[in-house]
Amino acid sequence: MHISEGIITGLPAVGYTAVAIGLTAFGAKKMKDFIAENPEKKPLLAMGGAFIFLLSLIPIPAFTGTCSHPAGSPLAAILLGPWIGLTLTAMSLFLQAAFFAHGGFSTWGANVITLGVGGAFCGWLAFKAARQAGLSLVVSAALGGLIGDIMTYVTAGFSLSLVMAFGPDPQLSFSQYLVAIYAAYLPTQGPIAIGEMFLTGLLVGYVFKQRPEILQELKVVFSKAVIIFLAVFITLSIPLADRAYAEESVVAPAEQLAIKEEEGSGMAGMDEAVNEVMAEAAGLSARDPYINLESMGDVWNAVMLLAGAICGFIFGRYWHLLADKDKQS
Amino acid sequence: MSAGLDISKVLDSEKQLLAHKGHGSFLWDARLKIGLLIVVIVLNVGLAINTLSAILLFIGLPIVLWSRPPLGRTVLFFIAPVVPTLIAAVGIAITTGITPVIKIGVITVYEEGLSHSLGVILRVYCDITWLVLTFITTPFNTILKALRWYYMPSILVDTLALMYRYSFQLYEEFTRMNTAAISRGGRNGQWNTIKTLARITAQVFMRTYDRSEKIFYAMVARGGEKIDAGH
Repeated sequence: MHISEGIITGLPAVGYTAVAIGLTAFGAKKMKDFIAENPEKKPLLAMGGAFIFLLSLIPIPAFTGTCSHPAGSPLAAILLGPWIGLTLTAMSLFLQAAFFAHGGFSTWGANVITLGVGGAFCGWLAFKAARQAGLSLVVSAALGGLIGDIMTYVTAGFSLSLVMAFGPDPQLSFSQYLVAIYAAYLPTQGPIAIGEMFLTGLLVGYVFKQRPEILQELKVVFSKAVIIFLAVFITLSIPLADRAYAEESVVAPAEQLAIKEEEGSGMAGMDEAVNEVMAEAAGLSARDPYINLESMGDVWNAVMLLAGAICGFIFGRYWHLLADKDKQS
Repeated sequence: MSAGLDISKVLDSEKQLLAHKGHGSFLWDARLKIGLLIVVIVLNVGLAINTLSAILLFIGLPIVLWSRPPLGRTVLFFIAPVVPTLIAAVGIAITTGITPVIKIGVITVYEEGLSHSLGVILRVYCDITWLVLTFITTPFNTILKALRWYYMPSILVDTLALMYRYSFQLYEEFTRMNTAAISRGGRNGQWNTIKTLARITAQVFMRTYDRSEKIFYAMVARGGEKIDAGH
């Protein structure tokens, strides 16, 4: 999906180019940071760019008897992050314009925004949101591909409508141009978006099935070790935090006396009235609990309950990994 | 990119380019060509005056003919934007303007719209002509050197260079696997085609990942990259 050379003119073309240069410059900075952290992955960025370029050459069937190519930017963003995805898309667009006159230099800025912001960022956000919602990797990647692709067309249609509605002698209003352009896109680009959805989801799924360590290194999924470490860390940190809290909230002797007097005036609880009496009758004395919930208040109790629920969810969600089954649920 | 475009044409064109003795814009400095291209795009698209676009187009076309660039890729450059340009031109002709020229059913073509459409076509082909003069008549490594001269950030130039180097290789690998898949009936039906394409592309991606590590260590071995002792 490219806006052709020469279609956007004047100030809008300058504006789009300026914004795209700014975004690409920031993306280049992110790439530099990435390389500073992982110098051995420098060629990977270029290979990632070459891969996007390759994706733009792959014809996918559009279910309407025609073929088109996937945008590729949602996949790049899912694998390498949105900023790197955007920058690689910008360079891929440069190569496409230089080698195939596909897209163009005057519309390079608009195309970077369309495919980079609409495709890479929205695709990545959809992927992350789906993962947060607990959807499987394949379904999340597929959603990322679909939303990224749809948002590419949405952004492209928006840009074109804006240019036409505010151009000379428009016959339609902005919203009418928007409807007309989206209606024109729907029969061809709708099936392509579905094609890209399947392609992205299946591709990420195949990579995860065959080489999960690649996705772990790219931080698309977390490794078993990280998941176990997080779960153990959260579990262990609760009593430690509790002890630290208890130490901080030691009650002064005078206040303790006041509290005891206050407690004495009311009814005793089950523990004091029954369990402690029975234990003392059997020759055992009550000791302080390991986690003294009573001294911490209801808010802290609720936080503990929530922490327990989160830990339970994490263990339950990734139990298949702990049980050594490399299969996404 | 539509399905019909073939990357092998680019490779053939590069081979011809390196073997070429040189005419016209082949002999021009790459920095000059990029500078001219930027000026042409700014004038053509920035000002968007039809007469100016026509003048720039008719300056560029004789230089293209004089330079005799590789025919296949030149034709490809001129054919590639035909469909999107026509769609845009028709869309503009029927949705902008106030003076009706022709009315076919509910569709009205306006005089101003036709003028804008003509402008779009002129602008597209003006840019394409100068793109041919810049990119088809210059080896890509020379273009990269010129981009460095124009202070393009080195991270982008390096990435572009590696992208250019490996795009062809990835494409060849993809084509080889795709041909093998077709010969084994992996492209029967649309769903099967998508599954096969995803499998092949995943395979290419995994190879890409492995190759990137090898490239890095090859670069280190040649002193091109620094590496700390921990690695």
